[in-house]
Amino acid sequence: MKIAAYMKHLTDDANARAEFHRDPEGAMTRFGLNSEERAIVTTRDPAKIRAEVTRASPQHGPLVITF
Amino acid sequence: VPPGSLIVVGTGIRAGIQLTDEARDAIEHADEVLFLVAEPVAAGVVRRLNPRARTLDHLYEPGVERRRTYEAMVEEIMAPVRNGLSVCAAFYGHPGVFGTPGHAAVRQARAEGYAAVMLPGISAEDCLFADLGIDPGTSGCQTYEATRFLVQRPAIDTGAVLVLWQVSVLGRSDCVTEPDLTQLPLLVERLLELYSPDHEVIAYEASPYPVADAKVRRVPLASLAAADVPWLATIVLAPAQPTEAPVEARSSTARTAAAATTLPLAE
Repeated sequence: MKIAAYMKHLTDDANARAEFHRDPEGAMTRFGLNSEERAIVTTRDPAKIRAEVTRASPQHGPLVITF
Repeated sequence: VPPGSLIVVGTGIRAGIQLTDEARDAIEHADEVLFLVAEPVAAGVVRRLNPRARTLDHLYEPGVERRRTYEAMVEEIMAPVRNGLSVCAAFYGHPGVFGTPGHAAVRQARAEGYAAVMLPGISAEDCLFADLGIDPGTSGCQTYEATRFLVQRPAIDTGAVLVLWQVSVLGRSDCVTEPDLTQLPLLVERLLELYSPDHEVIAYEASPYPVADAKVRRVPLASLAAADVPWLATIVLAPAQPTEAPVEARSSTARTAAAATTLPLAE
């Protein structure tokens, strides 16, 4: 899934964030997200995005929900 | 002062874009970085800043008492400090807000004579105030870890905001990687001693991603136990008899008036 790569891209690049805020569909399409991936990001639901990011990073440890 | 030092930093909630300059510097320039963050994008940010960074999440073993896990984290952080290295420990959010291992590591390092500091970060509560439009200075604000709130039954001022953390692991002292809401009815029972059944409760989870929204669920207190509570939720109760409602609840006219009467932060 490309969502994890896209979140990394957005985290690293202020221009990419601005592009997303101007034209979300266009920005995601130009990055290469397919329609299913675009639909997930468009929900703006952090749990759905986290699920995709985590699925793409099996080496990441357990979800730490307490500190 | 012996060689070896420790800087404890926070990554913020939106890792990378909420990382302060001083925290970034500390991560980049450390001989060793150890980190504990909530999801992989944040882990990637830390690793790109310092290729020597390694995670502590292998110590977060489900079922193990968190106290023991945090002790193990402190030992892992202290080992390179004792070897004379400059060490940075990076934690999700603010390293000292619900940050047991961060505080413990600083105390341990200082007790052994090493230079140790903690740098502030952006916490979930900081995001909460921004996303929900709540100013803790308006009515006052009480913050409790939910299990402690339930067990210790502190005196509560219902005229101030009440924030309860870690409600999804209520009653659990072990490492947990999935929410456990089985004890939530007990929390509702306690809150019903203080608030009316129709008092609004906000279940809030800050977003770790720059293009996602915070999760905000508003339910009457009496319905909280059956509500879809986000995994990392913090519970917020507005004042029962507010001196002034949270900003988002006011009309735009009232908001303008409130802004005009706000005292300066410094003179």
